[in-house]
Amino acid sequence: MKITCPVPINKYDTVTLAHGGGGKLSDRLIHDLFIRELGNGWLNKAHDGAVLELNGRIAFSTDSFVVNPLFFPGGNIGDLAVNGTVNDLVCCGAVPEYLSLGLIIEEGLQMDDLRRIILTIKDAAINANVKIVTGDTKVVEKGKGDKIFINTSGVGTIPEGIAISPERCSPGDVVIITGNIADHGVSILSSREGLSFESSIKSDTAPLNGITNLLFQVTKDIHVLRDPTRGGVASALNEISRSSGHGILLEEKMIPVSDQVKGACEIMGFDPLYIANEGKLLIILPEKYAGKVISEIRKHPLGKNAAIIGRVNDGPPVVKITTLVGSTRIVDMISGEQLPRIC
Amino acid sequence: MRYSDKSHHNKLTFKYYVLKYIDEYRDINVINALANKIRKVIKHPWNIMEICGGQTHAIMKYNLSEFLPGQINLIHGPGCPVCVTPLEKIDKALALAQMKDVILVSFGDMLRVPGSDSDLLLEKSRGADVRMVYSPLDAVKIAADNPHKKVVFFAIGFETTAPVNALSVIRAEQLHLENYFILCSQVLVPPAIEMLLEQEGSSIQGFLAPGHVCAVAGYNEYISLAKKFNLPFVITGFEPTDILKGILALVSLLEDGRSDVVNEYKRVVTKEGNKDALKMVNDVFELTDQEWRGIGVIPGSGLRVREKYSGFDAEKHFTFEVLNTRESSVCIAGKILQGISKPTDCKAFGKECIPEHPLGAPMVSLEGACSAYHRYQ
Amino acid sequence: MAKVSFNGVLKNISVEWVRDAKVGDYIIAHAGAALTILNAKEAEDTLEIFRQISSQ
Repeated sequence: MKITCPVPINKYDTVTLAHGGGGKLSDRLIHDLFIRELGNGWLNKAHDGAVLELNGRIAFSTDSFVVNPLFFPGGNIGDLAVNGTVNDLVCCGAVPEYLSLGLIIEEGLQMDDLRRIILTIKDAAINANVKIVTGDTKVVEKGKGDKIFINTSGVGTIPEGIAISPERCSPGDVVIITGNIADHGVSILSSREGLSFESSIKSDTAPLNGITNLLFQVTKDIHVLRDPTRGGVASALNEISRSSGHGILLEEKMIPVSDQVKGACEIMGFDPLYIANEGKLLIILPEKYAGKVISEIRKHPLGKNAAIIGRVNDGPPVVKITTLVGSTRIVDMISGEQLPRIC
Repeated sequence: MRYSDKSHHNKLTFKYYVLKYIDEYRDINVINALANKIRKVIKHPWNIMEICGGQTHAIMKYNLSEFLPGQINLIHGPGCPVCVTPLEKIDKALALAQMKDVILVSFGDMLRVPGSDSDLLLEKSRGADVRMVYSPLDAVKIAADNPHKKVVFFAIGFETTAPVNALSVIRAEQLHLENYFILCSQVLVPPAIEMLLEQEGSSIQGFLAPGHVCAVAGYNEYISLAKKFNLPFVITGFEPTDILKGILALVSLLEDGRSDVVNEYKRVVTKEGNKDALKMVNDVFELTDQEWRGIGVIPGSGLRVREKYSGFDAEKHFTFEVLNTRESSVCIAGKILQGISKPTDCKAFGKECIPEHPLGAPMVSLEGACSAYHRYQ
Repeated sequence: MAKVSFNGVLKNISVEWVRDAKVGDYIIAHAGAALTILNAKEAEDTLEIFRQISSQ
């Protein structure tokens, strides 16, 4: 006699160890939530892996997401999980196509929260024009994980003629940022206990392939693409400077920062250059294309505040900035998390 | 008059000298003009000290030394409260953090300052409940929200922070909280200046006095110091124009051989300071001898919790085992804080001692001289 | 406590020691408390001095 578990998934309001056990409850979770919401030709097969056909040079990237809190102004961990890997692929010059989704869930996570995150992932994937083709779920005991950790890996194909690499950053190149910096990091802080403040600052999490589509229509001769996440613009540019062996000089007055982010940074003693962004792109390219690129990107909803913020020079691999008052100082790589100042 | 922060029609909106009052104070033409004036006025070399972490930070951030003539030797004094917090207090904070029923709450800067064996961030990673806040009033809220835990706020700071640290105790008392404590390590600027000037071989000829410290405490004490040591003091703010204007005023006084106290931060500072804030500080705290890390004990340079509030004093409530405090043998923080050496004089600077693994406090705090030198130069 | 705007970011700040403060005033805030009210006249005077200096 076949005994089927009569209890529908909806009866559980939290995720339990059984949901990760590989048995019927697991199966229920996978079918009733993941496949139902994210389903496509590959995922529906519920096979060990997805078989794909890709042509040409393939970009492959992975990223894990451990953000706290899970839900913040402007999005949640689901948005980051999709957009983060999409953007990593974009920074390789690729057209992002397929993603994997790995979940490590802490026992006790509210089922409603999980559902919200999965629905967000669904929407984000549609928005970014990618498909989630394979996945995995594990559940760990209470106390062994911080509500949920997500890993996404992704592949995409790189069109002919595109060669993105930090080593290509060359003296004379121009540095562009596609919009206001530090929104994401500040929005996270605004929801942290002990530091909270009221503002309309929202995370800027977004997929950047729309912008790069526009970009490559102007020229394929783009040298470097980088999304300045943890560590902000300063860290990203320091890495690029070091890889290429060339110096970069930024212009403080050209760097787009919203007034509210400036205010929050003043309160907390932070420097926006070191704060994470999740929907911005650094573009390093030959100067002759800069004007056209800026005007094209500004037409895109995510690129309204795009600006040229600096230039690559043939000096030593150090990032410097011309301050608002005209002096020059070094923009160093920062260690660890930024801490608010007291005086 | 009562302020309600919930109801809209009562909502008061102040602005923290924003927009209108910030951009003008960073005007590039004014900066250049002030720099030119300094060059015109100066005829001799001068050693001047600033003793405010916020000013150190601003000088580094805007690289103001680019605008100063070579005859000015700008020395960074012990103006960073994180840097001067004695090792023993940090070790006490670490011991408290390790206690099971304690939530250790602190300003962000303190989290990575090295104690003898560890730091708060490391303890946090080992499972201690360590939390960062913007204000001690947030710590009081944590105490109110966690009645079964003991909440200890690491109350460090200069005169600028003493009032709000005192206020947190008053608030806790008003809320009848029995689980809120402060680990007090408050320092005062004028006794430190006195100590620096009394040292043999002191080469300091003039001071930029800390603007916000004076906003609270006024500047009567600096007038006494100016008379006693025959040195000029200029009360200075934090914007780049304020700092250059302060230096211009100081150099002018020095060239004229005058030992006056001049207020170049009039929009914020008055001679008497904020009497209400001082009253609250005096209610909760009293003067004590205080150890400054790397420098030693300076008499009457600190504040401790008064007997009547001893119920909120962490050092009275908790017992600490004998602490084995020991400093790095290489770190010359003391000399740097007193302006005797520069960070670049230190053997370990940039090598064993970098922000990722600091040996001493000035490499951790964003206002510490070592960290500023490392980041910006 | 009052709502203080930092460039549009609102934070609850104690106004225990600036009881004379009114809506629209500028204050210096530190670690959750207002320390002084910005003296608008002195601020303007300082800006005027700056204007004079930079035009010399």
